[in-house]
Amino acid sequence: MGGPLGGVVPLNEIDNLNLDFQEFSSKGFMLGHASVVSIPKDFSMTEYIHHLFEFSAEESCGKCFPGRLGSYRGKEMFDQAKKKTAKIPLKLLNELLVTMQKGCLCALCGAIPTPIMNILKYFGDEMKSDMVKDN
Amino acid sequence: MSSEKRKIAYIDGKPYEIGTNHTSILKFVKSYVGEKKVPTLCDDPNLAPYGACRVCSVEVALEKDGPTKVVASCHTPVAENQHIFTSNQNLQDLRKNIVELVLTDHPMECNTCEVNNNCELQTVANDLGISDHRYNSPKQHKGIPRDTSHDYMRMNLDNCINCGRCVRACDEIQGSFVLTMSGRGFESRITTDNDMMFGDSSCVSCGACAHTCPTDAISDVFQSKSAAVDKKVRTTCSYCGVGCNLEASIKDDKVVAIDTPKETEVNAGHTCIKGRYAFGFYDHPDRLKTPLIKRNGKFEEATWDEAYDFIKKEMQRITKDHGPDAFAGISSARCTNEENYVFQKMIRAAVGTNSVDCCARICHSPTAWGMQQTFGTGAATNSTEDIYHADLFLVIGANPTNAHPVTGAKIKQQVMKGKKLIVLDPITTELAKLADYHIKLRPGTNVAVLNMMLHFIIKSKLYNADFVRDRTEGFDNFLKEIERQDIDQLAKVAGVDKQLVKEAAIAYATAKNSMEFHGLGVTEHEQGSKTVMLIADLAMITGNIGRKGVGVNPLRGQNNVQGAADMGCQPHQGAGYFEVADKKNQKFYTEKYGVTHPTKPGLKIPQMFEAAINKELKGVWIIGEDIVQTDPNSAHVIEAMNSLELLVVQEIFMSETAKLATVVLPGTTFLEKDGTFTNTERRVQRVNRAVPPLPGTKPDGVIVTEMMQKLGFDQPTYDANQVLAEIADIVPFFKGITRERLGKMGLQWPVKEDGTDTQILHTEEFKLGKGRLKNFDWKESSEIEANHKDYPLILTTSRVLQHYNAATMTRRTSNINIVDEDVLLIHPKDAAYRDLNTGDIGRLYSGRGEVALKVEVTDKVKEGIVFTTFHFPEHMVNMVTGHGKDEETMCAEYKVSSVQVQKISNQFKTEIQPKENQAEVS
Repeated sequence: MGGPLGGVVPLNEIDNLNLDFQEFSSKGFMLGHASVVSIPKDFSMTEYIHHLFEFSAEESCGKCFPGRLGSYRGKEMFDQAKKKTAKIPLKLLNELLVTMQKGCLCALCGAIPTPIMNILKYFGDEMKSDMVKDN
Repeated sequence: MSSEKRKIAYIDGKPYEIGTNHTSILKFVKSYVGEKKVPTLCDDPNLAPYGACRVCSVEVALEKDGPTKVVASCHTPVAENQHIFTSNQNLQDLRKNIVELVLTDHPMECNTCEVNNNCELQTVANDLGISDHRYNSPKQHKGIPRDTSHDYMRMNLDNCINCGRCVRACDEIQGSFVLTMSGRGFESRITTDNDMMFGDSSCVSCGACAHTCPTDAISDVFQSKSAAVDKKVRTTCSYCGVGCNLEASIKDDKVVAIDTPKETEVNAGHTCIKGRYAFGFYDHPDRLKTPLIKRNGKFEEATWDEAYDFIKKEMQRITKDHGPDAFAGISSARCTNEENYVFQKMIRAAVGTNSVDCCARICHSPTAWGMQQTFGTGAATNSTEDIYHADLFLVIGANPTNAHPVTGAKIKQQVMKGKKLIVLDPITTELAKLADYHIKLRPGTNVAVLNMMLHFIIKSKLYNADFVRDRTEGFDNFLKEIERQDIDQLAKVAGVDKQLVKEAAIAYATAKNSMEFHGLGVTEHEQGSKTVMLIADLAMITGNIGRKGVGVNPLRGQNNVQGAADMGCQPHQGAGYFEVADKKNQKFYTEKYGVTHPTKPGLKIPQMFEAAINKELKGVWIIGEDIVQTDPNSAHVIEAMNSLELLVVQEIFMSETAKLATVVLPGTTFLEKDGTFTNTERRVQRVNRAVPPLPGTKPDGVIVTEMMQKLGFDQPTYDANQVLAEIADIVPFFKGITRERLGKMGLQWPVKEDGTDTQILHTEEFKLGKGRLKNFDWKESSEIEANHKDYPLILTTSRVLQHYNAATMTRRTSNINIVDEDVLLIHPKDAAYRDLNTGDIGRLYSGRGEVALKVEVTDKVKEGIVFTTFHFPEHMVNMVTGHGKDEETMCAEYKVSSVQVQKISNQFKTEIQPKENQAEVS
């Protein structure tokens, strides 16, 4: 829901949500601009997160450190996962997401962790083979 | 207790009061729990808050136990009842993770890095306990070629962390806008101008970028941020009168770099190309290292004793045969207060004449005299810091961004922030470009334009009637005189737009706080002192005196020209400005010095030249002043010096004047001596010896004192502290000054016995009681009257940023690679008439002499005006300048010389060489 700066909502949660900002955020999602994008089941979530990081890396102004460096390093992580050159270090990824969420100057790079966190929470199992827990 | 309610916020649970200077949470936290509690990378207290690095993040709740939010403390205001948490685990993790990200794009080569152990990134990372990152093969900005194209600056972007401090320093401190961040996101990077090499950019080499850079991404050729030095010595700059505090890095008894200390009151952590980088002269191979005595027209090396004996014999012969008034001294405004004091004491007490002067004669003597006549004190009324409290600046005949760069940059910043600016100058200076009102008057018409301004203020009834009534005298007559001024005629002679002057006058009179600054464009005129007194009128009738952000403020040229005059290096007043012709004062000095004080006022510098030529003056002792290159009409000065029987020159280099000396004594630079300098805002600041004097040289105070002892005068062995104590005993406004009390920041005179100093003069009443309003009519300069017909252009001279006066020091540094000649600026119309193009060589001449200079055609100068500098002895521009003098103080009229310019050669001239085998055709 809501484009890259929105939330990734699993189908089974849709019925529990009203279409308003507060409700979305209280459940850990984000309404964003409220558009709906449906992700097919056969579309890799690794690919989708890569797209999200790529988006913020492309759009980052470069002023704040967590935004400029964090979104690029996130993109690199998923580059490597896509190419199968390295697995995603889950602990480091989680720390990176918290760092960006709390530390970024504006809502661009500060909001991108939300859909990624949604994916890790609801679709993490799909990505297990791409991940290592410790790093 | 203040009636205002105290506001409290909490840091980690403890209450603290919010002060007026706590403009952010970061400042609030740092002031109570120390610098280290919250780390920073992109923050610099001298720059506006930026909020980029986010390592200063803290958690804030708006009520006790309320929900918290993470904010960057540097750019978040502190507010009442905030509960601020500075260092819980979440925050520590956040900071660690951010710094870890920084390390992913930073070469981890600290041990070989120039700033090892003095790197903010290294410190922050160490404090957070991280030394590496966990990311797999991150892309890095590595292998960017080092930019070594600049004479001073170095750029190594591999080590850049994109904090933007350099860009902001360039914008917010210097105001040059050279550095920029180009690109965005991960690809953003620092560039100079439009991706030019650093050395080709419009950089003014102030070094603010290197100073603020937290790593070595921008540094300088001296590696000024290297921690690999033996010690750092705080001292005071010896270039202009701003009085920047400097910190010299010393290694193996050599000065290897100069930077500014973090805490400074005068220069707010900033300085300029001269103060920071042009110090290499101090141990230049050209330094004089042994006394020299001229015998049969040739200098021969001598021991100090031989030199002293020679001088003693000659001095005693002269004074015995011709009396003490056949001897005179010219002191140095570059030397310390203590040295100036002992020198005037030697001339007055050991020789017995009042003929002692200094270079204030040819710079701000009209300011000192004019302000004494109107206010009672010949010194800046306010402090440099007041720039931040002014609403309007009136800058007359000064180019502070070149000649007083740190003060100039401060004014520029305020103007860019919207403060009003009036500039009176025949040249479009950097400030004039930004001015709301640039009155581009003809040199020599300051009095005309000031009378116009006064007239418009009176006519518009914008004068401050209360201030005029309570604080001034002579208003009725003033009013009558001002009202009868013929404004149209004055506008015509000055070549200015009447309406523009009127608007400027109204702006000055109506701004809440109007602050005036002036330079030598006011004083170096036939009506110099009169101009100063009219400026005082302007301040008085509008009530712009005696409080913060206003006043009349001369920008003093030399580091210690204020001090040299304070110490009595002027022929009519002794130490502390007591008139020497007054019997009461003679008695006072006689008691203090222990010998009968001379009673007759002595000779001013121009009178010394006349007296020498007339054979009345036989001997002169000069310290650190190259009068041949810098005084007007060089041929006349040379004739005077050659007429002397004894010329002693105390110098660090073989200057044009030293070449004419009978005896040359090798003195030392400021880096090799202790003492004090007094800056443009009356601030007496410590000069601390950074390195020992070069072998063979002696500090100037030592030389003078040894000579006094040689002459049999009872003067204790030179010790700067002891001399300062002697000064405090004689000079009333130094009463409370001791070396200890001066501390790091110095004290502004008058200093009371208890050590209280004075930021603003004339707050309650003037030294004279009431301020005296005076009137003067404009009069054409006699130079123009006599010579304008044959020499229709007016030459006005000044300095460039990179060089200082005779450039004795700056020519012996890399500044010479940036500017290596004096260039003549000429208006396009005047150039076209003479078939001159930029780059051509022109002959600049007057009835006195001529020089050949490269020409630059520009409308920076007014039509009919030519401009150049006087830095290079290869040119000796003062061969051309004239005899004109301020009517009251004899300050030379450098700003008005009637000249002519003629084309010598074309810029594209090609030398046709005869071929070797070609037979010459006759």
